Amino acid sequence: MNTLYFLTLNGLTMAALLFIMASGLTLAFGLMRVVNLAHGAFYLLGGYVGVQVINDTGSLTLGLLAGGCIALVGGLLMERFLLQRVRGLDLSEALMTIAVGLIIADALLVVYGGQPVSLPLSRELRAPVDLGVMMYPYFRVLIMVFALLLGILLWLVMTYTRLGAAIRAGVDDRETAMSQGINVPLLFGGVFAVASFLAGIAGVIGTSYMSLTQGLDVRVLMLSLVVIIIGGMGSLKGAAVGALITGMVSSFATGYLPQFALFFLFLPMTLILVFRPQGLFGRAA
Amino acid sequence: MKREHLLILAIVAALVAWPLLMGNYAVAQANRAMIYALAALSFSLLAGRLGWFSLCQTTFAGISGYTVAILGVRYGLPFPLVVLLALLLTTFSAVIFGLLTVRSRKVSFLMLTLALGQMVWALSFQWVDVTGGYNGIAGVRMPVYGGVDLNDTRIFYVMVTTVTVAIFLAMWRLYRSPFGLLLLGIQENEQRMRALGHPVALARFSAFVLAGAIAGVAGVFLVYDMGIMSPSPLGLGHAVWVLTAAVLGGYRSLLGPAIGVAILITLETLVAQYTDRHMMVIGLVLLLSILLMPRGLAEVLEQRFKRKSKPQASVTTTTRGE
Repeated sequence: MNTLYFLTLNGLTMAALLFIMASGLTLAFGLMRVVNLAHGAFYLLGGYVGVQVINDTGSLTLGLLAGGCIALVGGLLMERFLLQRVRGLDLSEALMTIAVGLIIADALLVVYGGQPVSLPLSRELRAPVDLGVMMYPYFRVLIMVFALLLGILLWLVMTYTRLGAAIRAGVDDRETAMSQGINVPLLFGGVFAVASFLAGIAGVIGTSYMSLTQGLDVRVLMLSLVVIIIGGMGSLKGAAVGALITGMVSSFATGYLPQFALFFLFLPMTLILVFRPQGLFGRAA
Repeated sequence: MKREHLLILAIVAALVAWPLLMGNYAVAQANRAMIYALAALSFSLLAGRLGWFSLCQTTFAGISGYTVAILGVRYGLPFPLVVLLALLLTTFSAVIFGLLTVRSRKVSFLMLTLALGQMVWALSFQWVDVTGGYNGIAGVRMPVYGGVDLNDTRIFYVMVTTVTVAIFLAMWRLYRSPFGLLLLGIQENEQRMRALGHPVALARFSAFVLAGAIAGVAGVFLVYDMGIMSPSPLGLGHAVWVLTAAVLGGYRSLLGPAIGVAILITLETLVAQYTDRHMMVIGLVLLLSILLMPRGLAEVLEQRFKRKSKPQASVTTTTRGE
């Protein structure tokens, strides 16, 4: 019985992380139709810088902010100086983000070297807490709470605020939204900034779960893609459900059939592609 | 028409002269270049004809390479059978991937092929019993027939050149055949092609499987060239390398991908003397290609040649509106 709880909790943690990772990607895709394939590199950038700041200052909050902000700056620079030049050509945009991702990841390798880096956590954060059914590391509980709050916040903003309404209008019909006086380019920049910020934050948080190494950017990108393909590209609800499915399947497969963990990780995505290509909550093209 | 024949003759003459004039290193480089040119051709068939940018063509090459390594080294099957089975298995995987991706368009196709390709890559180092994990499978060698060692650089060159030229010539015919034109038509206006009664989905699917098979051929040569099969050729880096070569050279033309590969290999050899940051170089080349000449070098050269430029739409230069 304990294993069952443990695997469920691990799955939930994984799902929370996946949601934090994928929410930025799906947000940018939903509004701008830009697949930011540099997402994994921004994750890595945020992670490395965040961990360095935590090491230097000893403050987790500062580290999180620093990781998020550096990714935000990177995202904004990429959006202003590169993506704007090929705006509207979605394939060129996607290829450009691949190029930027390669450059960032290689530059990080130069600066931080190839040694794995893990998140320095204080003892209180690492200590297990009693969840009623079993003891579980406090920081992982925090990750789950954070993902839940993030999801609720994003949902509230998208559903109940003017800003959210403007974003949804921009997604549905860009031209009409612009003719109604909504500054869509500014909105795009803003959403892209938030998306990059989330990638950077995810990098810092995720480092408590898997250490930063060369090649992690591609893994993160792949996982995020799997999540949003399952959920439907551009849908926040989809990202949440996709993360939950992927996290749970991954945790239980690792627990019971470790050799086939990867196979099971991709199984839901394949099934979705066969029976519902637009994803669970995606709209047909 | 006539100019094209001259061009083909000139290229074949250059390919014949190369091993006669150059040293072993240059011949080995040419082998590698032709293998990657095949991979880039496989990419360009989808990108140039259908507007489908695939990040899993190197995955097919990898599947083919692993089949050769596993069947040839582990089970010691004879060379012709190994090659045949490798090509069959690659085509079969292309059929499966094709079924999964045939309904997707543009960016979602890119994302799907990325995810599927990375899945195989992950499998290739996790399934240690079969693939040998990170260490891979070493000792992949061609046989010696009647005293002729097929592994010899120059003999290998003859084989690679023959097959590569044959495939490029076949593609040259295909691009101007009704099927090739149908693919272009689908890229330009899918609805119209459908309305005209063409089997759009089937044509797309066939092109995908064909491109996979070409990548499979590249994979067979690649594994014999390297002598070892490891997960790295299946990684995203290789996929992006091939994509960069095709974008740089011009994926819409037949020779563009080959030109791009030649430039990229030359560039890497030059840069290697100063730095080992070659992924950064690839990233910069890709970035600059998209910014400065989205149609690729081949079309820039062609226009310089012809002077009377016929404006043609390129996938990356058409606007988003359907």
